[in-house]
This record gives sequence, structure tokens and C-alpha cells, in this order.
Amino acid sequence: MSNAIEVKDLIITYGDNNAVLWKTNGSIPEKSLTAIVGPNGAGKSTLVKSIIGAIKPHKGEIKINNILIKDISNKHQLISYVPQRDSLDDNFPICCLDVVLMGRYGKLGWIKRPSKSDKDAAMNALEKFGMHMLANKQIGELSGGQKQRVLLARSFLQDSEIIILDEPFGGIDIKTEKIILDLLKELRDKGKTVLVITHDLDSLKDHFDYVWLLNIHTVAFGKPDEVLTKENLIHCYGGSVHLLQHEDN
Amino acid sequence: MSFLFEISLIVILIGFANSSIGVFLVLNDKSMISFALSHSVLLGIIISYGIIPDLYSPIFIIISSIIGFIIVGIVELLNKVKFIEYNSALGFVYLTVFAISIILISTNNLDIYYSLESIVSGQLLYLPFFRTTYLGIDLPSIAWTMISLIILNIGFIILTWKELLITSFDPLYAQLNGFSTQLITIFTLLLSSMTIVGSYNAVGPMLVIAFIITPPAISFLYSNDLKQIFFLTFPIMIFCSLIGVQIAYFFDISPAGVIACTFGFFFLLSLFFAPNSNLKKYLFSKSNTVNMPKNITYDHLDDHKTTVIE
Amino acid sequence: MIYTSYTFLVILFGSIVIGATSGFLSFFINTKKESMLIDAVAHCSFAGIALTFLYVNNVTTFHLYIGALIAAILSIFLIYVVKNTSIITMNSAIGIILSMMFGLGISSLSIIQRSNPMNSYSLKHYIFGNILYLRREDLVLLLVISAITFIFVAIFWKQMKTILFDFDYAKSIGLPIRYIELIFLFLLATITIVSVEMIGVIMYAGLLIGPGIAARQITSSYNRVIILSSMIGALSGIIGSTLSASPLSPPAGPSIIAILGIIVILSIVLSRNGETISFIKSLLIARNHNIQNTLSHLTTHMIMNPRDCDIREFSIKENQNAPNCCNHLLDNLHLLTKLNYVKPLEQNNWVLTYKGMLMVDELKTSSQLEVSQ
Repeated sequence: MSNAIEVKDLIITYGDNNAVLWKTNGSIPEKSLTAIVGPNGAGKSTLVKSIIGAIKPHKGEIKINNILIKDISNKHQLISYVPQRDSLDDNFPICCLDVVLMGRYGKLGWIKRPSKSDKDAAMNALEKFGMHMLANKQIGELSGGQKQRVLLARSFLQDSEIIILDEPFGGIDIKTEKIILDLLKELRDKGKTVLVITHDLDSLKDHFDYVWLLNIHTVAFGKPDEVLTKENLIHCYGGSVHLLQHEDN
Repeated sequence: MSFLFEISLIVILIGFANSSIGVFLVLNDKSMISFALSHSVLLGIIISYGIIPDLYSPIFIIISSIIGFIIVGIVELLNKVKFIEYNSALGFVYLTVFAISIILISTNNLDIYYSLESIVSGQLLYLPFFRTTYLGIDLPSIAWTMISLIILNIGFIILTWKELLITSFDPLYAQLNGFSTQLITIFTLLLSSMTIVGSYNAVGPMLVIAFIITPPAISFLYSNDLKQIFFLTFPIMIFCSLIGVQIAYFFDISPAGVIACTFGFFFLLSLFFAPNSNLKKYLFSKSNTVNMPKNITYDHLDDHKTTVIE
Repeated sequence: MIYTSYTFLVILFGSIVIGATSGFLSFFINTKKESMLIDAVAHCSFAGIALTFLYVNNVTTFHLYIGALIAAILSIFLIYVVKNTSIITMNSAIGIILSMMFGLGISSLSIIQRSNPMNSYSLKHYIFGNILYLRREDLVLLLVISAITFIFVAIFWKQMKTILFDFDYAKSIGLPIRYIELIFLFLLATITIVSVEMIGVIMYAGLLIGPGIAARQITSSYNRVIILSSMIGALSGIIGSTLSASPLSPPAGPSIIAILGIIVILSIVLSRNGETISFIKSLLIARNHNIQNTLSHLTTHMIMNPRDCDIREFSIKENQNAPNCCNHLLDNLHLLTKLNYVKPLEQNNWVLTYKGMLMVDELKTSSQLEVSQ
């Protein structure tokens, strides 16, 4: 199985100060569901933003489907990014349907306008996430979970090979979290590569194929059983995490 | 055509050109940049006038606006110097450039302006005396300038509507999909620069800001949809401008100041009556719930609606 | 000769006072990021001044002061109301209120020009400033207000420093933040109003922004920045008013701001704290001390990742064999901090910056150095 994303010796720093990522390595196999986990300030968001090409690394290289990022011309077909829902500008005068419709913009390219079929597809995406009743509501009027679903619908519409989600489970009740996890598994089964930044260590074992333990560099990468050892977690979180013993661990 | 009619026409054309691009400046919180731009283009106008002494020549407008744009670009450079805030850098650059421009004008007796004050207040009432005939129609030259700028601005907006939308709303997602936020911003600022240069002689640097910011701001108070906001800006602008011109005519006051004041007045009125404003709630509610978002639907209420994702 | 006349000396003195006081406040305004707000206040006070000229018959400085103050306070109030009751951002709110009030001022000017030419002549000076406009009573008012401003800031020196740099701590020790800020704003409005007579409404904000920028480039000490920006303000005042009184006769406001602009640019390019000089300094130091040797010597005493949660961190191990070597280490660490290779954390913990990590990496690969885990 080839690797969807390959990160080699990545070094990123903001200004001349501290390195945010230092010699980070990782290879994410395609058609998998991987979690990126780590403490605050570990560089998870930075890692993800450099994968999508928003941040240029100082050193190291990132390959997607074995092509270097800078050589990729049709990024929108390969990667989609679901941001943290707090990063949305609540006051922006835009309705849900138009947000989801943005998922087609990459395919349209410059100048071309969305057609009726694009708008219908956006509506279908909203329906799939149970949001079609709120299609014309301004996004500031939505709850947190609803905003998350709109962003998911957008990336779903984009239909890229890789989907990266930035902390989709923050402040969501268990039921919605399960719904989102089921959806992510469904995407993986359809052949997509899904990458999720999450803080929730408990759900990892049952749901994810791989775990990337990150703290400025890669502490461990692999299947949840192999990676989530006490030793690794202490290396990553600095001995400040207390593990609740489950029956089967 | 009567004098009053021509003045009204000029004002409305200036309004169309400025408010249209102004919608996106207000949307992206670039009001201060347009303020800086409006002061910086004066230096561009002086330099450009030395090369091409024709206020209505397209080349004059292009050179002036590029110079103004570069000056504002210098602020970006200054932003990288340590210990300098963006706001302070902006204020410092545009005030210094404006000061130098005023000194150059006052010591060299430039013949564009009747007096130093008219730089600031504009010379709207003198403009119908400079005319150009084009396609058989005789109009004040500034009207032709404005018509060209309107075509440019509205053409740009229609052509790149979705690019403007995505780069304003979610720059990161825009970049991922191949849209350059920087390019859109540069074009927006260049067009604003040209529009400001074109309007400069009529209304001056302070009052052109009223055209750029206030009608769009009023529009934002009335609608939640960007398309609606864009289209609503124009009737608002026309309404306020006509009232302003009438008041100026009736009381025999120089119109630019009156129009700016009228815009502001209707903005404050809208702050009280329009749907997107919390002023009424602020004043009349006992508890201060002003900071609450508009309509909250809580997550748990959702459970009773359909949440099935197949 | 105009420069030795009594009028000019009065003017010179006035511009020094205005420059010094404005420069004095400049640092605070820059740090609080209120530059644009103050610019709006200056422009809006023009409306108050114009309306005073319009409705009052025998206008005195006091009338103008009250009129301008009302306009200034009203505009600050309106800007905050707009910002807090709608989605309109602060910058847009400033633009809306500023253009409205300035429009009001220009309209009033237009009316006055017809009804009362004397007044309109005086009013016009408020736009760009007039060097010859400072009368005796204006100078007295100016001195009084400057004195109050200086005294206020001197009394609340420490408190203002705390509020600026450690707001939460200031709240926690119960400083009367609201009152201090309000009084500060009031003094600011006041000095603005008396100064625009000479500098003009359009240019005045420059005196409240520039000196702070220039002074900050030259020094990092809180006390020195404020005094230095006051001096820079005064210097711009002196040179600017001299320029304005020269045969070329440009208006006062722009002259002072243009001179200030030159000073700011010079301070950015030449200052000891600024980018250019610190870059050259670091090159020279790097040449004089062999950074590589210093760092490699350091690595033999480093324990990397002592808390096991951050690979950039290290602490210094106590070396029993050579007790006097530790002082030398501290000196090295200070040098490396200055050159931005390391940064101190709490206690004995330090962190390698990006530069530092690069260099340690280089040393490791080139000479197989051992750094204890």
C-alpha cells in the first residue's frame, strides 16, 4: 500500500524563535483513518497547515501521492481541509449553502461561475449531513455542531482523496461525535485517506487505524495498540497524563 | 441639463464607483487602508501631474494610483521592522506622505487646486466647467472618468465574485483551492486607488472615505447576504446623495461636506432601526445581553430534529 | 529678522511644548494601538471648532476649547457605540464617524465663509495649522494643560506601565483602570484640541504616532522611551516651526510632521536597537567569539529534554570536577541568549531556539559530539 502523505525531516519555525516542528517524520498510508495527537503547542495544526501547503517548511519535504507539494497543480483534487469551527467568522454575510458550494470552487477554477448542478450537489451534501433545512441561514445563527457539519459537507462536496480535519470533536456531545466518526470511517471505506487532529485519546483505539503521536517531533507512529503505550505517552505529554485503566489494557 | 442635475449626476457616479468597491473593503476590514490610500494618492497626483498635466487622462490616473498603492505597500514593509505596530506604521506613513505633499503644493503653487483647503474639501462645484464630449454626449470630464471606473470596478466584482467571496471568508481554504488571497487584495486596492484618484478633485481625501465606507456599512446593517448587501448599497447611496445635494443646494453650502454628513446621519439612523443592529436592545433591555449571538440553536435541541447521516 | 522676533519665540516655545507633550503621550498611544482612534478625534474636533465659530459671536479660545471637547467626546462615544452594537468593525466605525464629522466641519466652514469672513479665515487655519496663530492666552492654556498631562503621567508612571504591559496583574491588584484610562483619554483630547490650532487637525495625529516609533527604535527602556519620544516631539516642533517661518512658508502642521518623518526613518535605519544595527552587531560578535566552540563546549554540560516533554529544552548539569567552570557557562549562556541561540525558561531550564538547534545539529553531525539524554 503506497503512502498518501509522506513527511520527511520537517522543520518549521515562526520567526527566528523556537522551532515548532523539528525533524518530524511520518508516512500515512492511503485509504486509512489516522489520528494526530499531542499536547498543546505540539505543532499539530502547523503540521497539517504545512501539508496543505499554507505554511512553507524551513527544511524537509512533504510528498502527497509521491509528488512534492510545490509540484502539485491540482491541490483541490488531492486535499481538503476542515478547519476548527471557531475559526469561522460568524458575522460574515453568507448562508450555509454558499459555504458548502465553495467545495466546488477548486474544480471551477478562476472566473467560472457555479452552475445549477453545482448548487444541487451542494444541497445534496447538506442533506447528507441533515442540514438542508438550514441551507439559507446565515452561518452565525448556527450552533457549534451545525457549523461543524457545514464545514464537513463542504469538504465532502470537494470530494478530494485526502481529508484533513482540525479538531472536529471539540465541545461536541458523544452522539454527534459518534456520527462524525461513523462518517469518517465511511469515507475511509470509500477509499479516502482521512487525517484527524484530536485531543480525545479514549476514542482512538476503537476507531482509528493509525495514531501519530506528535510533540514537536514524531514520538511514535503506528497502530493504536502499539503507539499508545505508557512510555510513549509520557514522552509525549511529559508525565502529566494519567491513564485510566480499561479492562482490556 | 441644469447645474443641479449635473452635480447630482457627478455625485451619484462617484458614489457608484466608490461604494461598489467599498463593499469589499468594509467586508475585509480594510477601511483604514483606504484611509491611508486616500492620503497617499495625493503624492501620486502631484508627481503624475508633473508628467502628464491632465487630470482626466487615464495614464495620469494609473500612475497616480500606482504610486499611492506603492506607498501603502511600504507599510507592509515597515510592518516587518521590529517594535512597530501595524496601525502606527499605517498612520505614520500616510501622514508623513500627506505632509510632504502639502508642503510641495504650498511651496510650488500647483494650479490644480484653488487653495489648500480645497484639497481637503474637494472642488465639486467647479467640475461641471471642465467638459469632454464623447460619443456625441457632452458631459463633465469627471463623469466620463467615473463611468470608466464604474465599468472597471463592477466588471471586476462580477467576474471575480466567487474569488472575492472565498478569499474574504476563508483565506486558508481559498489558498488550498488555488485562489490567491494576495492577488485579489492587490487588485481590490489598485482599483480603490484609481477610484480615489478619480474622485479626488471632486470630494477630497476625507470625504471620499464617506462614499467608500458608509453606504456599504448601512447596507450591512440591513442584510445577511452578501449579494443583497452589494445590490442594496446603490439605492442607499443614491438616496442619501440626492438628499445631501438638495440640502446643500437649498442652504447654499458646498456639497461634499453635506453629503458626507448625510451619509453618516442615515448610518446612525440605521443603527437604531435596522435589523442587524443591537442598539435598541442595548438601550431598552434591563439586562445587558448585547453580546449574545443572534439566534442560538443549542446542540441538544438538534437531537429532536433529523440527524441521520446515511 | 523673523527668527529673533518676540512672535517667533512665542511660536517656538509653543511648538516645543506641543511637541514634547504629544511625544510624551505617543508611546502610550502606539502601545495601546489607539493611533487611528486619536486621528479620528483630531479630525472630529474640527466639527466642534467650526460649529463654535458658526454659533458664537465673540469667539474666545475658551469657547473653541469647549466646542472641540464636546465634539471629541461625542465622536469617541459614537465610535464605541457603533462598534459595540453592530458587526461594524472598529476601523470602519472610525471611518464612518470621522468622515461624517469632518463633513459637518467642512459644511460649517462653507456657511461661515459667506456670513463671517473673519471667522472663516481663523477656522481655515485649523485644517493645516498656522504658525503665527499662537496668541498669548493660547500659550497659557497650552502650558497649563501640558503641565497637568506631565504631572498626571508622572504620578501614575508605574500604574500606567503595569496597565500597558500586564493588564491582568493590574486588574488583580485592583488598580482603578477605568478611571486612569478615562482621565488619560480626557487629557489626550484636551492636548489635541489646543494643539490643532498650531498643527492642524489633519496632521496632528502624526505627532502622537511618530515620536513613539522613533524612540522605540532607539531604546528599550520604558523610562527612556517616553522621555526620548518627548524630546523627539519637541525637536520636530523646533525644526518644523523654523521651516514654516522661513521664506518658503509651508504651513506649520505639515512641516513639523515632515521633519518628524525624517527623524523616524533615520531612527529606524541608524538606531542601536533597530534591525540594521543589531544585525551588524551580531555579525561582529559572531566574529569575535567563536559561536561554534562556545556551543560545543556547552553541549558537554547539557541535559536535553529534562522534563521529557519538549525536545528543545535543556538544563545544565552540575559538574563536580570543575566547579569554577559553571560561571563561565553562565556567561556563555548569556552571550548565546543575546545572539538568539538560546532562551531562558524558569529555574535551570533553557530552550534552544531554532538557530540554536540548527547549530547543535550541525555540531553533532560534523564531530560526533555526545549530548547526554
